[in-house]
Amino acid sequence: MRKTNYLNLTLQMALTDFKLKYAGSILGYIWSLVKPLLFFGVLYVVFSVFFRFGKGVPNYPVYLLLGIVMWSFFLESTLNGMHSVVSRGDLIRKVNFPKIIIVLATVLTSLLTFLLNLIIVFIFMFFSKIVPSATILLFIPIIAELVIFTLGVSLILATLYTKFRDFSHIWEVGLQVLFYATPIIYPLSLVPAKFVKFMMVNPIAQIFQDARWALISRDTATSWSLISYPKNLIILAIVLATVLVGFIIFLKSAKNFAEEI
Amino acid sequence: MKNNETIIKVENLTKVFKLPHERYSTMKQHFVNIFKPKSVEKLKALDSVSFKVKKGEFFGIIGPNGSGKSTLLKILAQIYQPTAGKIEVNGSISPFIELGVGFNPELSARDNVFLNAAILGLSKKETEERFEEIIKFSELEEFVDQKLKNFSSGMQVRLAFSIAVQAQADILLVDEVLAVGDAAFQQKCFGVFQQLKKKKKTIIFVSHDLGTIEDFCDQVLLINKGKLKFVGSPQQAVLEYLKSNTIESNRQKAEEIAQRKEGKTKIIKALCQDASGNTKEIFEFGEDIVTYFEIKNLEPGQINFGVSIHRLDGVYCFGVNTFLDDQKIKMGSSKISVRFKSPKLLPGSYYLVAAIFGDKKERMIDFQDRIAYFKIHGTATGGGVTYIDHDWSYS
Repeated sequence: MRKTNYLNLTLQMALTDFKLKYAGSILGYIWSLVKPLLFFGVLYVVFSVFFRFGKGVPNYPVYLLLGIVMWSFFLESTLNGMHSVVSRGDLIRKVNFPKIIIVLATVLTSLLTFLLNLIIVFIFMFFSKIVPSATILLFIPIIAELVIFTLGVSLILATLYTKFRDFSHIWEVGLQVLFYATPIIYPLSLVPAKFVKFMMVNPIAQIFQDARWALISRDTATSWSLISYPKNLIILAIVLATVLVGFIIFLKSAKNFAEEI
Repeated sequence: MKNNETIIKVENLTKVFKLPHERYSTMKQHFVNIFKPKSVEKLKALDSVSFKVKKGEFFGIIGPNGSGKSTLLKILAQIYQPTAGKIEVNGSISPFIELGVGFNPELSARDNVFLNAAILGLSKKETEERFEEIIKFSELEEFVDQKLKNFSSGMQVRLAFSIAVQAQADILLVDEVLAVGDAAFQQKCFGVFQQLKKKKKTIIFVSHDLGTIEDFCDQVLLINKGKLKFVGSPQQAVLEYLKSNTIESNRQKAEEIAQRKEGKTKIIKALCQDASGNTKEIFEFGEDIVTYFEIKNLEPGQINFGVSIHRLDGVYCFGVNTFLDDQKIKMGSSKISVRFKSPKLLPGSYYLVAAIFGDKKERMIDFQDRIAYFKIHGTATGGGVTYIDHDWSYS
């Protein structure tokens, strides 16, 4: 097979997953827009109206929505990515193709939903009268970092899940921990100062804050301003290590997937 | 390129599956059992198999269930890794071993074509170019936008086959393709196989349908319990298969009979012939069948000979012997023929059982179960063993 055709396979698999996600529903693709909005609505009422987390944060609704949309991408990709290899077992046992395509396609499917969700974020930005500056261009490499990190995590989980089904439960808990350890629903200003630095070493936190900085407000605190150079390079090292480990363990185990799962 | 170029060369291919007695798929099980020696059962699915396939050949693989056919195909397709041995492939090999893999019932036929073609390795452009052809061949023009779950299994196979033949590989692997689909479509499929053959594509074909194997293959490999039993002409392979199959299941019976054997008198040869004396294994319905036997060391005295016809599943169809027919074998003769005139046996596979016995019917001298095989070919319809001419009337 030629390389270009693997590209087609990846795209076809991603599109199929995307289509299937909404097959049989009346609203179809609109669900991918409505879902984060509903989730956002709940969190907004609870944390902005009741708990008043947003006080003193400029454009808190957009801040919150962007966080939710990015989190949804990470959550969906890693969960589906983890299960993807095992659930495609039938295909793996009957066709020879690079198994990594399965995980790539899963992440790509979530990326498609994510890009649709971003439209809503941009609409919110427009109504919040946020004037985009040149930093908006930096949003692209930030998203790239998110996608690469997510892919790395998904590859590690997918490999582990073929051997230990426990990871389905472990990762559920892990996601909960990560959700609360990352400034998604609350602003960083509410976190006691001694914890902030530790919190911001987490690549997810770094990426989310950077995205808010690039899109919403240059006043957003980021890992780069909170942690001094060169210590802050450790975050990039974590991302790089995750991706490398992901690729290595996945490719090493991939040739035995057909027999193992 | 030369015509008889070897396209696949397999040498001493061995595949061992390690089957843990209890598969540990949670970590607790791994930790709990960390100090226990793992009890692994080793299953030799393939045991030093060697063969060669020539370019443009239609290569069949037959064998009983669990003999390693699919494992062999999966190793050729690089889905499984061989444990030992060498495989050389001079050409691209289709990654596919089964039709309709990855078909999704919730998607339309159109979407499934694109997905399936992608799995086959076609680009989007290539699929678009061939889309019309695929749908036309599958005869599903009216249902292109229907969801696959509303298709009958036959329709699904038609669609799957139509896509699969578009594969751009030099070598196609097919596992039990034609199990479904009506006669007309099967005919069409064979037409395609012939075309592929003309295009010098190599087809490796696994099937239980011995008739198809005989009709289409140039070379057939017989495998049993992971060991290669025979490679060569399809007819011979099919017969070897039938023999090994039945011998296997009747070993006990054979041993029992061996103990009963007395003397050196033995049936050494058995075959079927047509009316003009040509050796033959496939007969038309109603055609005369001459069963021919050679016996060595026929001892003086009243010796009787019997032959019976059984259907492949063991059903006793008909049998005669010299005792019943009030015949006597002429002394000094070593060749016996029995001509069955216009037998009305229904199309299918049959085998012969032959025996030599003494003057009292009980004294068995030689007994040969499944000594020869023949097939009846034809269009006679009806169920059972034999065809009975009949008329319908209504009142």
